[in-house]
Amino acid sequence: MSTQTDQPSFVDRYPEEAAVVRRSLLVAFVMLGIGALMGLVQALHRTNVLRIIDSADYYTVLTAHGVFLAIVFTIFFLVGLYQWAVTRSLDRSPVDIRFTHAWATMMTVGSLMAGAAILLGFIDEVPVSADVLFTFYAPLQAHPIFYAGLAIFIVGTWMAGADWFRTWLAWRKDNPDERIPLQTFMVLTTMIMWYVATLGVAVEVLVFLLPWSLGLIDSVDPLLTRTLFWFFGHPVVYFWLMPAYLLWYTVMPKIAGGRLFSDPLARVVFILFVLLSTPVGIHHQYVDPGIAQGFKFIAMTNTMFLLLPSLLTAFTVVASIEHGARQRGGTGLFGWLTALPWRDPAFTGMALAGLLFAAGGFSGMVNAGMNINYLVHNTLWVPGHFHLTVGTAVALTFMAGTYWLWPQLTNREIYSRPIALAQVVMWFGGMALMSNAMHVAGLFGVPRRTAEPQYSFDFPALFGTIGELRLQIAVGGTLLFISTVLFLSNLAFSLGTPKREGFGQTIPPALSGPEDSPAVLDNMKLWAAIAVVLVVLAYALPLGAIISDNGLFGVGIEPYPMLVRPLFDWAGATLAGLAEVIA
Amino acid sequence: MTLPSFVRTRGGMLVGLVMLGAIGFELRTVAGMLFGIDLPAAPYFIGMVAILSIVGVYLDVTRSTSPDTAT
Amino acid sequence: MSGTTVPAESNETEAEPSVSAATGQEEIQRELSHEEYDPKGTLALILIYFAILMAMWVFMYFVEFLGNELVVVG
Ligand code: HEM
Ligand SMILES: [Cu+2]
Repeated sequence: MSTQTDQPSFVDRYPEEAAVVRRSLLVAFVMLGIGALMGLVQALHRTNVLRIIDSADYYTVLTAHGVFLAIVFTIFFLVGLYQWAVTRSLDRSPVDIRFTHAWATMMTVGSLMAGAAILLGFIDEVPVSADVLFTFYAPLQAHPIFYAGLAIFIVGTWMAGADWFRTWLAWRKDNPDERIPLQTFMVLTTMIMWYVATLGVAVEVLVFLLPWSLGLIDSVDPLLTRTLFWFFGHPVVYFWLMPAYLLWYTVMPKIAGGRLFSDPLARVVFILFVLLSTPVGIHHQYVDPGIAQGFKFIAMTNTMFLLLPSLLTAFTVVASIEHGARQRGGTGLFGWLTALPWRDPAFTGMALAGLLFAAGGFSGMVNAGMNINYLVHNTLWVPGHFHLTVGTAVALTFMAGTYWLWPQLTNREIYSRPIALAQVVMWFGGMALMSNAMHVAGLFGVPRRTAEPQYSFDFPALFGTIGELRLQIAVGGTLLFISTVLFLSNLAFSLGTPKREGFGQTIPPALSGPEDSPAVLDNMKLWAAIAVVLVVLAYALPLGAIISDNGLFGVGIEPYPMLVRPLFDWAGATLAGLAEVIA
Repeated sequence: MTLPSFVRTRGGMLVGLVMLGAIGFELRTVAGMLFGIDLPAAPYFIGMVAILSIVGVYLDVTRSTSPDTAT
Repeated sequence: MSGTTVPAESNETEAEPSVSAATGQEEIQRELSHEEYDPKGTLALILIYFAILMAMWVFMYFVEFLGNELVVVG
């Protein structure tokens, strides 16, 4: 890669911000590495190919995998990318960079606390564990340090959002009549959605789970906390996806040699996500008893509306790429596909990620259908689905985007472009294998979230054999792991390539610019208000019903495992004993 | 040369072949799930890899750019 | 977009190649404006995708879902 430009690069113009971005990405990638290792262990263990852990430790592994990848990796990448996007598109620094450092530190400390609680689960001698999976459903209970870490992490993300809003407001003062630059628009809308969504998990953790794990309250209502979790749990998938969309909308057309097809369409898509991503969470609870069918039906209808922004995205992004291909000399109804820069790992990675995302759209439609969902609920189909979405559309886009972004953050070239290309292609191939096999196995009834998926009945395979599917999962998982290692080592070697000039990149303006869209699209307050109303409409009744049925705290729910309560009991007993001795 | 003009670089070829491989792999699933045709795994995959290799070699020797400028 | 980008009015985007591009990657050969460009390939791809999606969904619904017995565990 020796393309030269005369633009100054991002790090030339904003060295301090670039450092924050770099650090966030590095935390993300460390987590990616640990998470991928856990993924490999799971893939090999479940399929009985190689068992290096005891099955009793499987949930510790799975929790680390889910939390490190789906929460820490994705969100750290997001904050890094968004810091870059806001700084770049507003062309200004944060109001106070110390505040920026503060949220980055908070998020790191929170992750370390939660991560330590999870990993200590491997050491039996230490009475700390958090084998609660990334959904942390009660009555599974984690050590308080896990919930506290989670809370600190989330507050960190709130501060990050506040930082970006502040930067935007400062910019607004200097530019009262300009449209919000697209990338900043995407960041702000994502964060509005995030503030609404995280209310659910904040209440869940701070009011219920944390006090419960500290022994301050005796029991919690599993249904209520689950519902609060999914209040947050669906929008979080858009929190993963929106940075990937930001890259697809604004960076990918540039790499493809084209321009974004429509800036107004992109804005509409992000607004639809703000409005619709929270009032659908109940679609994760189709089989939960205690929630009336009617509420589930409403969630399903809202979910179907949510397909719209993703379809708009498919159209806009592919049209922007086709524009690039035609500018590069591509012709024909499909012939233009061969004119795309397939040797550019950033392009190919994002394109393959988009392709698998399209496949994930199908399994998503099946998940979303209230009745068909019963066919696949809690089977391996579900991980099959979300390894296409978050595990590829998001993760692979992030890795591919890094190949483009990293040189601009460091003034250093990526160590090897061919290895990078092989890496993204390998991820695609490995995921095609693993995810396909997971989907099929799910249809045969193989459950997810278990070290011993045999249970006591046989799974009749419609074609091939279960053994074959196991092998595909194991081989696919291994390819994915090797791909991750290639990515991380390529990046590590890139820390040592010589520094040079010429990595500046511009992003060309959209074919149809923001001036073609109504100004009301930029009215953040309006969209936030409508989003809140929709959430209240969707959740007031179900939550009310749950609370009036079971009270706020449920009854007689014993936590598992007992971590802190026994300590308190022991302390209590000792004190009582002491008191007796003294008296 | 008609077909070879599709392929100019080894990188592009790699991407294309892996995509074809993935499609071939999925086709077996489609045959099994949709049409109930149980294609035996080992011969199917070995055959698929063989065909893809032959296509790959053919495309590589007929590539339209010289091999040293493009990898 | 504003900031470091080329102002939206200019259609002549002297765009530099991607930093992740391979050496010797072909440059842009022509500029296509909004009016000159018609994304017909995209439309074709999306229609094909829809057709596949619908076929798979119909199969899923009628064969897998309606065709299976109820499962009662326990
Ligand atoms: C190295 C690549 C990967 C491999 C081999 C892998 C493998 C697996 C396997 C086999 C499971 C199912 C375990 C079970 O249900 O018993 C799983 C679950 C999961 N994976 Fe991955 N995965 C990989 C990458 C990723 C990535 C990149 C993400 C997200 C960014 C991700 C997110 C998840 C989540 C959220 C779960 C569900 C955890 C749970 O059920 O609590 N995985 N993974
Ligand atoms: Cu959802």
